[in-house]
Amino acid sequence: MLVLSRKTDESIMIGGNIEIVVLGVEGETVKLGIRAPKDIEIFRKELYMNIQASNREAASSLLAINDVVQLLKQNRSDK
Amino acid sequence: MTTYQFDNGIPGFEHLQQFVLSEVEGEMPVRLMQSVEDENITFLIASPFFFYKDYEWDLPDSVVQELKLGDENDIEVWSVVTLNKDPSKSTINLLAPIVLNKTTNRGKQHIIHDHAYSSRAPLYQA
Repeated sequence: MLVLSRKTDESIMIGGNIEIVVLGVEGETVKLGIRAPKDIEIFRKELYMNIQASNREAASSLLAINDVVQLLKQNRSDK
Repeated sequence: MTTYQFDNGIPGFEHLQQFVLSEVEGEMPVRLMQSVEDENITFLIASPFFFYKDYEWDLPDSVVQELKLGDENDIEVWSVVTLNKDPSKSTINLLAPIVLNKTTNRGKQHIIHDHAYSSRAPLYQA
């Protein structure tokens, strides 16, 4: 991993069109500003990991298509 | 059956770029979303609006661009379901809907930033 030290109001560039600015540091929290083209998606990493985990769980819960159809039928008749 | 192209895969399955959607027997608004590249990976997706009537969020420009959406009628929105043998524990991912362009057959799992939706909302609300 590349490690750089920056002060408040200093920034780094990623390629020619993504800029990450250090807006401030309070205790353990660093406030970052990000300038990037609209087609670049930016997430907190834990949010992305949440979706990854949820998708993996959803895929592994589907053992057989027949089971799914049965579950749905069962549900419908429960209602 | 229609094949959709997901250029960036989906979170957790970034390497899978093509999924086939097929109908499921019965009247529920659900589909099977099966990977073309890995036959072991299949998702059950459901219409989030059927289970959550007030479900709503803004479509960001990044999604419009990535899916090359020209007309809003081209959009279809689905949510990934995690099934449980106990149906009351089955969940639906409202935080990261699957957005499809029916005209260009492109798809994307969009992560919503600005609403507090859950990735594991109960499928059947008490």
